[in-house]
Amino acid sequence: MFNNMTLSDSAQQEADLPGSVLLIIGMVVVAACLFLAMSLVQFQSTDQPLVTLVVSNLEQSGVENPVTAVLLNFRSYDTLLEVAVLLIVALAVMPFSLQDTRLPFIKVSEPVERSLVLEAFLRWLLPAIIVTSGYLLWTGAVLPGGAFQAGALLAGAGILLLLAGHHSFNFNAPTARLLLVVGLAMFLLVGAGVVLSSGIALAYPVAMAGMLILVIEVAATITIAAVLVLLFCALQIEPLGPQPNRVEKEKHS
Amino acid sequence: MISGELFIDLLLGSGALVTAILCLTAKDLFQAILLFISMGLLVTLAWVRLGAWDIAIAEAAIGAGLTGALLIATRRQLNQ
Amino acid sequence: MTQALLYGVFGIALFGIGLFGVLAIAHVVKKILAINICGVGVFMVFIANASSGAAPDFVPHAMVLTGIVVAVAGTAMALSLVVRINALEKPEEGA
Repeated sequence: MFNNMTLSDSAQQEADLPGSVLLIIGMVVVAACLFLAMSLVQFQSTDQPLVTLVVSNLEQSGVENPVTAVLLNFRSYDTLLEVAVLLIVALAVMPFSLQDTRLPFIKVSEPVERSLVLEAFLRWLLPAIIVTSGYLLWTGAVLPGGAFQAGALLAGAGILLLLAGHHSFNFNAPTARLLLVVGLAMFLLVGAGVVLSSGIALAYPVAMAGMLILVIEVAATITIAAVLVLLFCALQIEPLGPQPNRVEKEKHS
Repeated sequence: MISGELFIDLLLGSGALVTAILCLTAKDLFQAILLFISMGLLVTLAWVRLGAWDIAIAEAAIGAGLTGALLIATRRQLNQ
Repeated sequence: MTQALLYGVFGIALFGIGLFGVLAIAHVVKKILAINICGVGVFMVFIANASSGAAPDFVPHAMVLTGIVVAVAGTAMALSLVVRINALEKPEEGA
């Protein structure tokens, strides 16, 4: 079943599983779904202890948005590990970029083909995106929003900037590496630092909770945006391995 | 007679299902990617209907926007 | 039929569609799309369940928010592996 994977864009090979196998797979999947649906109908969650816990402890969390409170205070281990997962993914795709570490983070160059509409559009859009992202980050304490949404928006701005072609990012530069780790580093630093006052890792003192959460969120936003842009860059640039251009150059010389 | 709210829920849910099926049965990869993005947007509306505003914002930015950009970049690399 | 149950069933159906896609489709990028559809189905069951009570439960909301970001990171890593495999296989086809 997993041996005949294909990468080609033409879809002729898609139906190369025999019909009988497809039928069996379909029947198994349908049976599993029916079982899940039945258990969902029978499942009655009458009491929700977590709801009352979140609501009654919201005042001590330092923020008013319950989702942010859960993410960055009550279950901050989840978010800490998530930022760590992002860093691991970033490290996994890093080998794709072979740029020099001494080159600057942002390189400005003349694009191969200019798209005037996108450039003019970006002139207005980029500042708006950055301001919106900051707003989402700030308002995350009270209203829906927060580090993830702000980071995703910033990453969108970075990808648009890449698509315009004037700028390119070198994620091997020291600045870029700093951006990639600042979220996790700040999270760990604050999490370890509060041990001094409360004795438990990641248990913020109530008086400073709001400020500490904001500090962590700013750092996490930067890291999330940087990692997401790096992921896009890793797909954009020519992957290492066989590099036809280089071979041709060697032949010419 | 079903109420208006239930009608919207049914429409959003079945719309997401249909776009998911069309996405996986599409012959062209580009078509599949576009249908996947549309499914993300329909699901975003479903999150709003379920009162999960934070997730709706994140899904609109990540699920529909960034994933689509990543998939289209991959397709360009594969076609080179 | 309540809203929570309706979306729960839709979530399970999405999961089923994605699962079938993962098993039946040969094209790797579409397999990745199918895994994502699976994930969306799981998220929908979570959120539908969270909204079933009188007040929404915010813990599943936070977990799904984390899950969305991790899902896009995993997708990106899978796609970069696809691009790499494709780059390694191409010259052999041409030669």
